[in-house]
Amino acid sequence: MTDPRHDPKAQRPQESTADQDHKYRAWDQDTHLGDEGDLPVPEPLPEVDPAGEDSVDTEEPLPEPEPLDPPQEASGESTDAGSSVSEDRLSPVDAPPLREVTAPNEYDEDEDQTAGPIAAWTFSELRDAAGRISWRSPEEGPASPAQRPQQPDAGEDAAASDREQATPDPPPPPSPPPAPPQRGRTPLWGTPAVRQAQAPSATAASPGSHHPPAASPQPGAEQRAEPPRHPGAPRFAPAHAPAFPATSITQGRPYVPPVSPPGPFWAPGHRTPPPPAGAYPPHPGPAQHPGPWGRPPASAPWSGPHSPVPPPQGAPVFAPPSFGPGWTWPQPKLSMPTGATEDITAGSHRLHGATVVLNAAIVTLVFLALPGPLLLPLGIGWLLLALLVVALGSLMVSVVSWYYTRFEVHEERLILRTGPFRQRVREVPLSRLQAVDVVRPLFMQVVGLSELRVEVAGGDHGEVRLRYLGRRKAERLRAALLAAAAGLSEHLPEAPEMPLYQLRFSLLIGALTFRIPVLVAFALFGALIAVGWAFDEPGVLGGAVPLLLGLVHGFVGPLLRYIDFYASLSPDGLRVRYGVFQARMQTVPPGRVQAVRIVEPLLWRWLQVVRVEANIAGYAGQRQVDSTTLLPVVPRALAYELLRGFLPGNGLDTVRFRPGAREGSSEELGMDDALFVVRRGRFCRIVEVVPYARIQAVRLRMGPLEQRRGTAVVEVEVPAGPVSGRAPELELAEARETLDRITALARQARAQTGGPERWAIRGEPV
Amino acid sequence: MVDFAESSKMPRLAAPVLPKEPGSPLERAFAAPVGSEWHRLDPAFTRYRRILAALLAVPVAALGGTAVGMWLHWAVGAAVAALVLLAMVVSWATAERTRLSWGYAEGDSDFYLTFGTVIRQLLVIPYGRIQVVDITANLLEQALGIATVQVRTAASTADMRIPGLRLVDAAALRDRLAERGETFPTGL
Repeated sequence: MTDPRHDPKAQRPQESTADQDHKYRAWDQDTHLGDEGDLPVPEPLPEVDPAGEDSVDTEEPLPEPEPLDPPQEASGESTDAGSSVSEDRLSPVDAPPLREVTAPNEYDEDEDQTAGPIAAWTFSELRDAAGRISWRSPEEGPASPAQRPQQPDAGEDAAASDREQATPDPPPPPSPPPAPPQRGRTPLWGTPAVRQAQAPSATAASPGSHHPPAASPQPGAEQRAEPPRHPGAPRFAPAHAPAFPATSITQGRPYVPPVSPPGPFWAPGHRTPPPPAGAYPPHPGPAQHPGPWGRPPASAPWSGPHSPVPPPQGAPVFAPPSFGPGWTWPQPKLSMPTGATEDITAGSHRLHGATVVLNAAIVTLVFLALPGPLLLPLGIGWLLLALLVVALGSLMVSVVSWYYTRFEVHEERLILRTGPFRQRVREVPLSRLQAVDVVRPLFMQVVGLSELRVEVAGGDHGEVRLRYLGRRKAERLRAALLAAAAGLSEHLPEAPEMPLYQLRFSLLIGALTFRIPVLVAFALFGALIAVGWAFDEPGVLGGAVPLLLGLVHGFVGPLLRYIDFYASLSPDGLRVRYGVFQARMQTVPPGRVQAVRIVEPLLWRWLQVVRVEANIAGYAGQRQVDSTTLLPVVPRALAYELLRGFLPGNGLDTVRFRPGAREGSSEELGMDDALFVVRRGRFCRIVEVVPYARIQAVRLRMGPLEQRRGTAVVEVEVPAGPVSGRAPELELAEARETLDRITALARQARAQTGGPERWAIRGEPV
Repeated sequence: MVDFAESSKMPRLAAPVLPKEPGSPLERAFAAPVGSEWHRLDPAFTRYRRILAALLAVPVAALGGTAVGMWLHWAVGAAVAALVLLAMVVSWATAERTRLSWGYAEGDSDFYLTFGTVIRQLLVIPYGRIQVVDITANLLEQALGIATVQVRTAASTADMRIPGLRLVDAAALRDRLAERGETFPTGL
């Protein structure tokens, strides 16, 4: 096309890149609380692994961060404001690599680990664990490896040896990359966890990398030399104690709803602070650093341990946990069964052998159940014969299919080969990974197998299901996948996690019961039973069937699904475990949450609890129903605090709402510089939040009804999920103005945030 | 005017300059981005719609009318046929309007698309969000020398498409979109 408008080069003057780059830097220097100056620049991590050949990350220094294509601004001033504000949020953090080599969760053959790891911790234990971290001041500086306690190894630990065996090839495991100069911001769940979790890596750094085997004969020693667990604490404890998110969100301790005083059974026992309409106490950390725009630099709290940003004195709440010399994370004792020595990242692997027997047994049982009774008239002998044939046949088929099903993790790809005759190779680029779930139905828990589901964005068949794997293998593979997706080495073990929220059963059942539809259904059900019984007319019970179905769907289902709910944050993103009869462990990497919505049914307002749901691109179809609920029941204050911490910008506090143009509508539209928020619902309140950086498209729609009213609807499109992103009706001109504003803000946000790929080692926003 | 514009937290964005030329508020609201105009579809699209309507309506009217007439009553059959033919006539008459309701424009960082006569829509798709650009042309479209460009994002709905572009234009548009998608890499 000869039209100059169609030539992108003509539209994008090159000098603007330099300009903006300069602007970014200038901004860094003069506004960032002495980021680069006051305190020692983080020393480079001692040394790279001696072999160093497979740590690609260390070899290639990250390119000089520079803003990508400067977004084309409508005017110069908007560029100014935009970049400033963005830098405010994107304050450069000299962050060490975020991966920490910690103990993978402790394994014990004899113990059933299906319960959430933290489930058995008491509140005081959690609080102690958090408190131990938060009072430490960060002035002690990063630990140098020499200062770290190197305790003589008392006895060969199975874990230690196992850890080495887990990373057998090139002598030491590759190190996490040295601190990239700057880190892009990962919208939504990523950043807090990432920034915080860099912390441990400074001290409890990868044993193999920062301690070449010669220097540290026993890499596992320091890990084992941790403060002992609380006696009686669960053995399946998080890899280390809670730190930042817990400290910030819940004022210094991980949030566990306190034990309720005697009261109505549904009472949350927990007088949450008033709803977020400004009634919150000011956010402790950032409030200390009023940003240049009057709002706190949101990223300061997440400065890594190397960050020169001194924490606000007297307010250790947002302070990054300090990692002075000798600081070690409280960790559970390592004891990995020595049997699990296979390296999941090398070579190709098959599914667990029991899968063969399992499949054959399932086919046989199905045969016995369905066509079996039909064969019975022929005689029991024939039936048994047929059964034998079916069993053998299915066994053979499943052996063959098991033999030909192999998977491997190779060069940031998960490669799955299936099929004896028609070979099918499926390569999943892990940079596109959306979520990883480990699912264990009840029977599989007994047998000790797990199903691993890897969600990639790609429609209904986008997922890769590996069933079944051994439990250990599944967890290791999950860690490897997430590490690879984060851009780190696949050899790193499971990332640590910080407990975030644990849902008590009483609160779950109380909240699920205390909803109008459920209560009405219960009442009707009871009335029907009573009537049927009183008048001796069982036919009435027929009417109870739909009620029962409704109750199963709306009450029993969620109840069973979310028993033992436990959420934690890790550098891998948000980890959610729940379910007893079908235990699930869901990991949503940072930046993969496309939109969030907070649902508050009418009666839950008195309980002060809400439900948090999210759009996640991988989940489609049934999985969308199953997996989009991030927090099934959570106190409202905590939910808003979480959002404030996770969402870009300043949470929902600065959002100003305005009603729609239509009379009598309860819909409200709110926008600030980072979030698009819609509030609706008179009875069941719904707040939908879409960060501009996640917007896929914006739509202005005017149907006949709106045309008559002279209004139009702005819709924000995000990947499928519970959040629709439909704004209330606005006057026509306003609607167009809003659309243009959203477009411009989204352009800015995209330029500042970058994609979620390789979130751990990404430098400047892409 | 929009209330939140006054927030001090808001980055100062240039006020959207709507075209000054006369036009109803509706046209202003659905105007192309500043500095560009809507590219309308090729006139062949009108022919395409009309031929399509005829190709669909005439057999349906004939067969459906006959079947219903034989099954119930000849008058009912005639009514069905008349209704189908009426729909065809309406579609025929509004084909030109439909063509003019479609439009696309390439903004600085976003792709603009507008369509719809009954439900008017304006769609803004950032170039970086475009994942797939398809060109399809069925037999009739091929005969008329036009094609349909379909744009997919992660939040894809079926209506992100531009029918009735000349094949050359469609290919050029696809290439430009692909190129710009690489210039603004944002992924999912």
